[in-house]
Amino acid sequence: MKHKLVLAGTPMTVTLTQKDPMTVTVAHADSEQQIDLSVATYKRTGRIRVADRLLTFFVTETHSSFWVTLDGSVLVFDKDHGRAAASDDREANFAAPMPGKIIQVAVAEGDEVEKGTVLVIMEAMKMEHRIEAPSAGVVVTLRCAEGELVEQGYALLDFEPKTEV
Amino acid sequence: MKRVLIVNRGEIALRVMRTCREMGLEVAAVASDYDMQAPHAQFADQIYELGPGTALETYLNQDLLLDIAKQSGSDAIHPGYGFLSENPKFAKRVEEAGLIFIGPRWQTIELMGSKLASKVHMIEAGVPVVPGYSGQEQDPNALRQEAERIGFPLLIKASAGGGGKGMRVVRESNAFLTELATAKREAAGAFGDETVILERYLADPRHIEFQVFGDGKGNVVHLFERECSIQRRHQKVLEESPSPAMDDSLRTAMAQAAVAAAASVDYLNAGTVEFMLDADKSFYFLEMNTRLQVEHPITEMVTGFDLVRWQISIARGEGLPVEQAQIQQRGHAIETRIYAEDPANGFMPQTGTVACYREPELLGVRMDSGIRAGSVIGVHYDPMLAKLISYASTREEARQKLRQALCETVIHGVKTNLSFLVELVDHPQFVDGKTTTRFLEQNAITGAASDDLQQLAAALTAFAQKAAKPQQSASASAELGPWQQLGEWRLMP
Repeated sequence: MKHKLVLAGTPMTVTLTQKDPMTVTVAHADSEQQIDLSVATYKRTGRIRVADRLLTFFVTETHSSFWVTLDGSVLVFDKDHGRAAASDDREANFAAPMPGKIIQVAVAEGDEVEKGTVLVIMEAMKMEHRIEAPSAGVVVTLRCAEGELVEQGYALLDFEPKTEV
Repeated sequence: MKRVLIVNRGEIALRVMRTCREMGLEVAAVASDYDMQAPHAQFADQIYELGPGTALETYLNQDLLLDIAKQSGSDAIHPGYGFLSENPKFAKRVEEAGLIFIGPRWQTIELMGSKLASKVHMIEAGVPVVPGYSGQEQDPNALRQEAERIGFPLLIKASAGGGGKGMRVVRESNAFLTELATAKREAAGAFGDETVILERYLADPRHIEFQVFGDGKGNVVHLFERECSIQRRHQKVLEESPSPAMDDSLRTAMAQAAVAAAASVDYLNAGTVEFMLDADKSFYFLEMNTRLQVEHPITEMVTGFDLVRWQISIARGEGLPVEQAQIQQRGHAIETRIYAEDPANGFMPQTGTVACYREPELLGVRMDSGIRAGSVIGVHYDPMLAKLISYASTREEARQKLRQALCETVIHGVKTNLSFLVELVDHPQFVDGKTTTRFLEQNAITGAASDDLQQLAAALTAFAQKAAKPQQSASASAELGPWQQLGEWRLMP
């Protein structure tokens, strides 16, 4: 067994290296660690001994990720389907942070804006969220209009940061 | 009263229905198309479809709900909290339709629903209020002048508001007009009324509220305080009773003010008088909520009374169940609200399907939940999924119990604030009970896991097994009992 995962942007590989006692190798970036799972008392849910403490854990697999609750932390490991983990920064910055409705588009295509200028105002669950310019720059393309409903992650606009001279 | 229509959804609809059933009342529920498989819809004796569409077209659709009330043969309506619970027009229409509204009189809801009018009323009733502007003049430049008079930082609030919507803190004069525009827009969107009030922003206050009940015939009792200081963007996150800031003389003074506030309107049914408590122990009336509060369970734990049962008894005209002297505060209760939001990403609301759901199995722990495995969390409604409440003899015991309960609560498939809540209850300042409404602003709590924990969690994915597919039809879930639905998540040796 071997699977590739991404945790908050960091790729890692989990490999079952030994069955009895059960040992797993977790590798990411420049480190590799052997973890002994034979000390876990049940399987998908149970208790695992770490140093002098017993920690409660729960594991679930969905079609796109692994969810682990461990000692009160919830970690989501996305399955890596061979896609490049790094995303385009320019688009990522203007991805809708939540599913919701566009209530105001405060700029037009071609507008030059200062850092912190409000570009788009969204609303979800009745709370407003402002998308602001991360630096001085130009609004190249607008991909949303007032009143539209957008999904989380939808690229709202293209932005060209002003390069320092 | 034979049959009660509950015009709400999620955990509060379920919570109200449970008491109705205990009292031998039949329950009728309503559900939008998204909610037809939701636990509250499945629990009811009768379920009425509200159809597709936004909240405005479904849970806020007064004509439709009143038709359903008639059609279902209900003789009373319980509004829960949120939605129509504080809408005086709805309460009035319920009354005019010859039905019992389980809540205060519509005139009281109308008065308290206006921050402006309620403040003026409380000044007349001798209840202390925060300095500010609550006049009819709403011109931006005139408001700016008032803002300069009150001084910064100050708070802009929607007069008709609640729950942090249409509420903005302005720290300097320059930002006033921009924030005013946003507040007015949020207010108009959420409440259909863009009137705002201005208030001095207390530097580091606590939020303390008192539960009150009135019989509408001049008798009012209080059920002690709840401290709700831990808030993020004016949304409460954790509440407890008693408040660690209270001593007997302060408690007596605040309780008297709360009872006076309620008595001044000859209060009927359940209400909450909210105060801000300043560092110097002076306190100010904030607002009165004319409904059952989200955080009512902690009062139920420390007093031992079922507040929904009280609401129903009073609505039946049976009066207050007990006298003030019979109401005691025992032990300590803490509630945390579990939201579908991502603390690592600015607390953005989250959507998705609950792949695995498990409630903690501990003594003295109560889970008021509106979800189960297979529930689809969408954008249409509030992101609060459930409330986890612990009760013990002391604050520290209740805190430890709550921590363990949070660690044993599993919601996979939708990101939640669970790990944030664990870090919160572990925070030394919370352990010491020294929290104010600015606690979450001053402390960056995200619930991020340590590197070691991340590695171990990654290793544990070796144990993973695919979650069961969400249930598609009502018949599929009806055939499964609760134990079967727990499936692979039972703890077996």
